[in-house]
Amino acid sequence: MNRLFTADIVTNEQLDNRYFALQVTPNVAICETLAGQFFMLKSGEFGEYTDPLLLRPFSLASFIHPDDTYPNGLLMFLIDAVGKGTNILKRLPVGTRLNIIGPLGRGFPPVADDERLLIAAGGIGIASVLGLNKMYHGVPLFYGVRSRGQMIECTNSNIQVASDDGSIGDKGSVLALLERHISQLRQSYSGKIKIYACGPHGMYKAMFKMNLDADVYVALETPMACGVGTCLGCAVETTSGLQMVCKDGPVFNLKDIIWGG
Amino acid sequence: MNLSVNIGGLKLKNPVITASGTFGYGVEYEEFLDLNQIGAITVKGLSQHPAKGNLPGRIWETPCGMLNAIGLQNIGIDAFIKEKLPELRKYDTKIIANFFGDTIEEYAEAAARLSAAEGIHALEMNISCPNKQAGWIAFGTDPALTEKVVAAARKATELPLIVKLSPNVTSIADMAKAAVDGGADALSVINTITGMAIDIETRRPRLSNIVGGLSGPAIRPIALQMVFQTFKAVKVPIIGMGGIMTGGDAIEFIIAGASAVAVGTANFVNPAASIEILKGIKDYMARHQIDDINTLTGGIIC
Repeated sequence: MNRLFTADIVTNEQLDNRYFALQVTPNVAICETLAGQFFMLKSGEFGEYTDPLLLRPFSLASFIHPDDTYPNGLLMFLIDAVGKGTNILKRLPVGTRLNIIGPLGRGFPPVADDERLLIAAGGIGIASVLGLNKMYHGVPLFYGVRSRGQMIECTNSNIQVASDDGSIGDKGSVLALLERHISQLRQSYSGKIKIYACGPHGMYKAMFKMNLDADVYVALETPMACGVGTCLGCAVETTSGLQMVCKDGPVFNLKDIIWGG
Repeated sequence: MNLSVNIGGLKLKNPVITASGTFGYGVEYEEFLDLNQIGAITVKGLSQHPAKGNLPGRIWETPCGMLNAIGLQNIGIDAFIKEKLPELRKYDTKIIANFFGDTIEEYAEAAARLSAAEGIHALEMNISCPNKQAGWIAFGTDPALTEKVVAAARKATELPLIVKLSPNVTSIADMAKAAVDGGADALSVINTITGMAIDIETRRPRLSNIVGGLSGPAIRPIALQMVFQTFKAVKVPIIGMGGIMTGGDAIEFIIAGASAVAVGTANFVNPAASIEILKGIKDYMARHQIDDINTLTGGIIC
């Protein structure tokens, strides 16, 4: 099985003025995927479209297993149209062929039976943890958004939401909800707590400063050229030196990252 | 159809090479393409000691190109010979070891150590990385110093010696002549072009090193012109590089004077780029009834 393949767009749905959900079906069988892994995407014939030049990395939001209609399954990405590359992807019609590399990187580590898992997402970071939400059904999910309009629907009976403007859930930071949950949990549970999180850089820095009573793993995002560890462009400073987000990550232990000022 | 070329004593089965710094140590790409089909693999630039490179941010995309300031991060010559080279020996392709030093002595020593290893077929000398400090840049921009450092490496190796030239000079022809006078068997033209980008919201440079090297299709016309100037100035074979994405791009460089081409940034966009470029070269040759690729080198009609 090859991690270099083409896939065709099945649906490309606008969710709000920035977010969109892209579903593609690969033209070959793809390698097994893990929550937290990512794919590099680009449209157009190779060599023909040179601006933007590079592929864009996106977390896998979900993989729907092969069936009669889609013999190689469906890959779903939730994307925030922040720049040129993502805005081009947003406008692509159904049927467009994409060039893809993936799955890439290391996903979230497995959770042991005697560990408690909590999931935290900020904004479009929900994309990276949707797979976890599906896999660890019923695990508490802490989800922070700017406002109601940006919230992606996710099935979880144990969800706690916060929004910057208070239009949905608590007004303020979702991390306050997370912290409160941990202190409540600690009254009856002294074992290991793991938090798997994906969100903006500021959220991670805040989590680092909070010194949460848990093992926190976060999915990082950086500019990236190759995705496979050769360009050395996506370096991140860790306590054991520079590491590559594409190959050593994108999931890292929060305390291994040097967050700086 | 003859695709084989001789690059200053380095015999390649075809003229497609992967460029240094864009193909790792080769083995990273074995799952994406048949490495046996590539003319040669140029590995990531090596130094005597492992180098940690620059802090992030290291890359930034610009129109039709990308800036990088990796800072020559590498595992060092010893680790390369011990860990990577045995893997590469399994493939039926040629290995070009790209190397650099901080002093003339270090260049000579690096060349000697790489030459002693089994499975390296040629050396490519990097005297032109835009991400090094001012003193170092002189190796690639001052013709007298270029000749001196090339001569030192020349004495240290029997392998074909390729010198990679900087485009950040007033006259690429003068630099080419200096490298050949120093003993270069072939020239790689060009390395990246110095550039920068700024985040206007924060006024901070996009790269931690502030400046970096621009690569990709954005620099192709500049690279092509420099290959053409170099071809007119010296007799040694030229490896043309700079934004080659397709077989047609490669042919353009060959017509301008290149004997072989190197594929760089395109590897990031498509890990199998070099194979597709080779196919494109063959298609062109078939279409134009060219039996021997060597007859096309410098075949520009002015």
